[in-house]
Order: sequence, then C-alpha cells, then structure tokens
Amino acid sequence: MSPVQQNKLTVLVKRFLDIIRILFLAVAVIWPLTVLIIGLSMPDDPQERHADVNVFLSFHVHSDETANGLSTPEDQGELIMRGRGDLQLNNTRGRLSWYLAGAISQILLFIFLYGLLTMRKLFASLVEGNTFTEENSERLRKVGFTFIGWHLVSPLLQYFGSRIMLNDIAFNVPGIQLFPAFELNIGWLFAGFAIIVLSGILREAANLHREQSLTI
Amino acid sequence: MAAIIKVNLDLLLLQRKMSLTELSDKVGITMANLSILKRGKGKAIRFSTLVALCEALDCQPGDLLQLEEED
Repeated sequence: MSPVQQNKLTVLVKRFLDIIRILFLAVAVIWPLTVLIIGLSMPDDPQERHADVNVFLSFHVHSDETANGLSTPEDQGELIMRGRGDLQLNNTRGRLSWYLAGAISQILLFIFLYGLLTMRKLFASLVEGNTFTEENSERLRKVGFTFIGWHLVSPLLQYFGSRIMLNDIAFNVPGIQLFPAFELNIGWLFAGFAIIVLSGILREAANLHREQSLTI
Repeated sequence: MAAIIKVNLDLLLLQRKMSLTELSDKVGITMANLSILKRGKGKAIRFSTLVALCEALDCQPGDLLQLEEED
C-alpha cells in the first residue's frame, strides 16, 4: 500500500470515527433519559407493558409442556434443546429489570465511548502527520486496556445482572428454563493484549524517531 | 559522573570570525540544526555533517568535538 493510499484510508477512518463519535455521544445523553421516561410511564399491569428487556441468558427446552419454568429440570421431562443468547423478555413483576438492563447498557456504552474517543484522537493525530509520538503510543495502550476492560466487564455485568433480572422477571413458560450465562471471549481479550504490545512497539518507534530528529 | 561530547562550535566560529548564518549557508545545514549542535542538544552527528563542518571551519574533527565530564 502506497503512503498516499494509506493516508487516504487514515482520513477515511478518522471521518468515520467523527460520525460514530457524534452518534454515540448523542446516544449516551438520550439513552438514560429514555430509560427513565419509559420506566416511569410503564403500566403497573405486566400484561400491558411493551418494553422488552434484553438479557444474555442460557435456556433449556424440555419435552414436558405441563411443567413450568420455575420447576427443577427433573420435573420437566427430556431435554429437547439448549442454547444461549441475547433474549428479549417482557412481563416483569417490578421495574427493576428494566432499570438494571438500562444501567448495564449505559456502563458498557461509557467504556465503549472512552475507547472510541481515544481512538478518534489517535487517528486525528495520524491525519496531522504525527505518527511516531509518545502520545499516540499512550493512546493505543489506552485503546488496548479499554478493549480488555470492555470484554471483562461486559460478561460480568451481564452474568450478575441476569441473575438479579431472573429473580425479578415473572417468567413462567411451560417446558422452558432460563439460567444466567457467562461468556468470556478469549479471542477478543488476546486482541486487546496484542494492541498493548503494539503500543509498546510504537513507543520504541517514537523514541527512535526523536533520536533521529536530533541526529544532525 | 558521566562523560559527554561537547561541540566547540561557538569557539571555532569566534576564532574564524564567522556567524552561524554564514556557516549555515556554507554547509547547507539549517540554522535550527546548527543551533541544536551549538547548544549541545544533539543526540548524534553524521560523518557527512562532520566533514562539511570541518571543511567549512578548516579544522579537524578533534577541534570540533571534546570529551567532557558532566556536572
């Protein structure tokens, strides 16, 4: 890839990050207000609520349709299906699940925003032609730590959050059981560590660049 | 106590009655870079730069560079 093409790509990524930044900053302001307003205006009767709660859960589907979701697995016949995923649930007893899901999303959004803003600063510096600088190395290191932080905090929050939400949700579907799920993605964590290692290489490059600039 | 290399550019310019601007024109090194050398802020000096300076100032590398104990 020629330097010109590389520069064009850098400019393109920086513009993309500019747009994404505005979008997510707006979401960070609007989202908590939306959660609060919807939470306050929720009808007391669970059957009338139409606000789904997204929860990362494991599920088991059993053959005995007469058993309900709160029974033990032994009571529910043969296991037909199992899985895990981001499930949309409704019909909550209280409003706790709604607020908790909103708070978890907001915490993860703040971590993501921090990484995004740091990444944007890095690309802004690259567009200005400042490649090998201590600041860029530090920014890349922060991006790496944010990456790791997000992929550690996200499963933990979802696991403990889903435990509380499962107690709060009046889930009662015959033959279906729900459990809190924990999914740690080692691949993404490894990618985060790789970014931190690369930031160390960039710091070395910045040192060499500074020495080179002082070689007359 | 560490030793450092001191660049005697000030002294040589004085002896040759030459200004930094004149030297810059003669050797083709920017004033900013000559100033870095003069103030002892440089990290290294290229052989080509040393040859150019020695030719312009009519001196030996040993006249230009001096080993000195740091305070």
